[in-house]
Amino acid sequence: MSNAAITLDRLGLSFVGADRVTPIFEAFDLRVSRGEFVAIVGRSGVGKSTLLRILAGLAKPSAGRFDLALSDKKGTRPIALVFQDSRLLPWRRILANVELGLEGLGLSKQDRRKRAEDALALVGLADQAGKWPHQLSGGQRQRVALARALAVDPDLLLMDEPFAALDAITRRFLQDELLRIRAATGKTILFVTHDVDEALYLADRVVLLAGSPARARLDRRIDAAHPRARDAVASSDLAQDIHRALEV
Amino acid sequence: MTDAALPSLSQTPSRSRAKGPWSLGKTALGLAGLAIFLLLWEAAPGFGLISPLLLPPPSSLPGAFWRDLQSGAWHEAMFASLSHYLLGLALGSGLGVGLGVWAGVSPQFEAATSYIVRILRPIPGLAWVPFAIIWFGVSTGGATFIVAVGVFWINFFAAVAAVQAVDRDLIEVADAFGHRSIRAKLAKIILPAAAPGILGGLRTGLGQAWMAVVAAELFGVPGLGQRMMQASSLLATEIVVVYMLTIAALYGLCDYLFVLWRDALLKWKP
Ligand SMILES: Nc1ncnc2c1ncn2[C@@H]1O[C@H](COP(=O)(O)OP(=O)(O)OP(=O)(O)O)[C@@H](O)[C@H]1O
Ligand SMILES: [Mg+2]
Repeated sequence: MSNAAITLDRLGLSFVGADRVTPIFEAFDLRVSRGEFVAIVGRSGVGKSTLLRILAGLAKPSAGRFDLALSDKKGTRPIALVFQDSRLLPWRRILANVELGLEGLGLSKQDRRKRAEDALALVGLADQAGKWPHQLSGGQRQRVALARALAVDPDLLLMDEPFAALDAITRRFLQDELLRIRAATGKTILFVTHDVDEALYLADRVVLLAGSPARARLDRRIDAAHPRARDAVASSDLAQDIHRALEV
Repeated sequence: MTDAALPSLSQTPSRSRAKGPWSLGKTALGLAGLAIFLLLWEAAPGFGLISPLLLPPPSSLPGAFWRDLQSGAWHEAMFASLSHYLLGLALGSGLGVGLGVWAGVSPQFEAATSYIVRILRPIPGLAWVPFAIIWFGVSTGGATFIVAVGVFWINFFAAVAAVQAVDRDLIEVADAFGHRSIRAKLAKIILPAAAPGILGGLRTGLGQAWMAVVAAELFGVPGLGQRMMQASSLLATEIVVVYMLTIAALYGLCDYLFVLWRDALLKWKP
């Protein structure tokens, strides 16, 4: 049995505009092992969100194949996505927003509620459960979106710049929280970020997308054990390489 | 706003301080305007400007109202009209919203019905009166039909527009969290997101429907409209005015209750 959670095989996707076709991916290959934490970096517009959308089943590739080998335990969902914008449902209170993915899984009302409350507590927002989304700050909303994804206990967690809108202290707290969850559950994580230091602090592997159509210009393992020293990560050779590759 | 010059302790209290007396003043002004209107109305026949037969003075209204209350005519007409109103409204709004939501989510259904809509939509509701009489007779059924036609299109178009305007990004959230059937999407995203627009259509329909009720009853279906026709043929204009005001009051009440319900449904809106 193969150990790959994600296999992209010569994947292609283009956006068809009025006067031309823009290929975002063309014959794009990527393999992600089970339990791997992969950070995806790359310049704006290169196709990072599009890649996550394909994996989440929200966009259809026009060529190639992709395979997901994910466990589908009862009461969970195989995949959850944290969108780049929080996308909470304005007519649901915070707790009900977190319950969205838990509905339709055959859970009792109490179970749903309990799991949503736990997920909210995890992101430090237990006391906001009864509020409406518009009553929260942008960063708080983004944390609710994270809780909504964590609540379904996904085997594959897709995260699109989830911490970009947060202050440094909250961001560090949630980064460590994410590492803890990951160590405890062995989830496979694809984590898009613009912050190279963040990628190096969190991930087992960094993939840098560049070009049009996008290619993995750089694909490197990071073997350092957790917890990592943040300043050592920021000044590492790999950090220099990534910054250089981003500038090309 | 002279308050702006004050030390900026807090803006909100100064605003509510400014608003309190002014809103009282507005009420007083409104009541004063109404009083002057009634006085002029009362005085007009006295000055010989117009015959009291053509314009019954307000002072004649309570007596007329009391007489119709005593005879039971008022209740009878009111309940008859209310039942035409509620039945027609439920039927027209239900079908309008239902088909409108369908057309909003299904481009095929929208395309299939587009020419039918284009032909039927410009026909004024009252142009259906001949058919209402042929199909249902001068009866509750006929009046209900006229009311239903009168509110159908408002609700249909409001629902189509509201559903088509639902943020695609939110529908995607349903997809991302496993709610992929159209039923789940309707329940979890589309209907709640479209609710403000749909409720706006329903509210417009509440007003339109009274127009249709009165019009249908002017053709003889028992109710407020019919009672007004009877009274006017006897030149009992004060009774006509009593029923005009009855309609205004019923409409006001329905609208008030509807707004309470709507605000409860939409309490999530900032
Ligand atoms: N629906 C669409 N129609 C046409 N073009 C699109 C569409 N969605 C995305 N694109 C284009 O595809 C490219 C990749 O978009 P994507 O959102 O994946 O970028 P990204 O790498 O996530 O960028 P960012 O870092 O700014 O979020 C962009 O050039 C964008 O203009
Ligand atoms: Mg993006």
